Amino acid sequence: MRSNKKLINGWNKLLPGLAAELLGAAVIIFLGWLIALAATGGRM
Amino acid sequence: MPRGSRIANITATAYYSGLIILLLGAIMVVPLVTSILSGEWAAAIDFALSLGICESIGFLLMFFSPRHKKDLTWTQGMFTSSFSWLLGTLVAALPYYLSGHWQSYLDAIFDVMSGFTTTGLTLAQDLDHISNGVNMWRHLLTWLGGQGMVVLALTFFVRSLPGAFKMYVGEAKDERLLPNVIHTARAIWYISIVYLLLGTAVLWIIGVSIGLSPGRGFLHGLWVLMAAWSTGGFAPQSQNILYYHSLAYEIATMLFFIVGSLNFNLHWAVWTGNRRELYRNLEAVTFFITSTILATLVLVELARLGVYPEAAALFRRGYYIIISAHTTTGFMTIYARQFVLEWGPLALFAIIAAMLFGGSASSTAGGFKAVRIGIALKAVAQDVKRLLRPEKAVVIEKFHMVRDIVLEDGHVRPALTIITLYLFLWIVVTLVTAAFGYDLPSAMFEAASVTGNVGLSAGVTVPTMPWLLKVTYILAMWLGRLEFLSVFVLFGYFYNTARGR
Repeated sequence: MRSNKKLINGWNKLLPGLAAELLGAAVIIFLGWLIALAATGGRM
Repeated sequence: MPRGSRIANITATAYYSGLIILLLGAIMVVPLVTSILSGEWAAAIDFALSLGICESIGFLLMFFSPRHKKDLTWTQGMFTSSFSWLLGTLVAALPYYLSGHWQSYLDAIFDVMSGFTTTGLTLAQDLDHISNGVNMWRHLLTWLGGQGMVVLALTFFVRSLPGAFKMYVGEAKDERLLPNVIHTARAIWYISIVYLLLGTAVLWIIGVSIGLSPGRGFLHGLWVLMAAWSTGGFAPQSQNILYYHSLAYEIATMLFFIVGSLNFNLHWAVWTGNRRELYRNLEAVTFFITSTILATLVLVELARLGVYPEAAALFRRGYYIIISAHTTTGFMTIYARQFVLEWGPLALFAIIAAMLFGGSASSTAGGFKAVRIGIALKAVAQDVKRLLRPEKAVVIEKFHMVRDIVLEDGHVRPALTIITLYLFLWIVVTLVTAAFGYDLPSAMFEAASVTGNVGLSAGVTVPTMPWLLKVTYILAMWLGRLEFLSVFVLFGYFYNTARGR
């Protein structure tokens, strides 16, 4: 299983992949904060 | 059906179901050890007893069915998946029932089905004083259920299994990450275990920083992560995520349940270097669009009604809940009755839509799945383009799921079939709930939560609810998680057997 070996040995690929997924989720969360700010007219 | 073929179906199902039950029993060692380490001797005895019963049933099933060496037929694969889920639920409920926190065996079965299907609704009594062992079992079941019991068996138990792909499909996963289905199952667990380690560490640190003891912080971190990643929704405290009163905890859980609702195929693509897939993938794009539209609806409505006049509260309550609903997680930062009493009909409707839409296919999430919504919308766009262009023009619509795929009727039909079946089930469950005297908004909300394997509650799911409603919800959770077809095969098989066919 070449691709599995590649994955296990390739932290250089795994870490950016993990970071990209978490960043994608963070963008969705940040968007929620912006919508909440806009909906309340910026009231904190 | 010829008698020989019927016997072959039964022995193949019994053999593989026995294998899966044996494995389930072996996993009970984890809560058993947790109970022993926590000094919970009564719980340890419950787990030892349940483990013995589980192993005995698994062993007997395998002992009395000859080892199945032929390739499974589609019927046998589907049948094995749905039957092992059913049998697994019955035996996994033993420790719950023995703990005394569930008032009947039916309630224990309800909670196991809720865990396995990553729904997250619970009928446990005095949840805040449940032993560490039982809490470990609850969250472990959710975590295992998210990946799939069949996937688990394929990963750890079997080196080469004839007909493995047919069992895998029976568990509502129809995409292979790698050419070999057993390697695919292992890859799914590999991804899940990496997130388990990372997420537990993050939640542990946050837990300790907000005042939990290191030991408790670790267990809570592990359990909450298991429930977040598998989009389950169970939590060790009755107040769910509201218990922690922590923005950091809420953001961390949100991160992990959003990532958990992604397709394993997408994870694999991104992890192997194809990071552009995150914003090109049809499912990821569909989820982004539908969640943004529904979140805007909910937040604007809640702000208009003055339920949460400040941005921070609106984000931590409104946005958290809508994303929790859309990913079919079911974590809550408000009390159940607030939905119906405070949120107003428009926000309630948006949450119901989010729960039905659900997360990604081949993920731990429930609902229609984003890919089916995306395909349905693409099909509508294709039809509109056909009407606008000259009659002889050929209109080709494409979608991107790791590679570019030309949209065909073969994609549209199954997508619309499953969406129709989900909607039909939701209507039936709503009517059954309403027939027991619950108000229509609560009935619609709870039915969407059950059908989409979400776990948010408007207060209908409590230990005192009618037993027939509990049975209805158990069936709906099972149907929703296995996406109907393998359960229909099981019912169809019994029906044909009863008619002597």
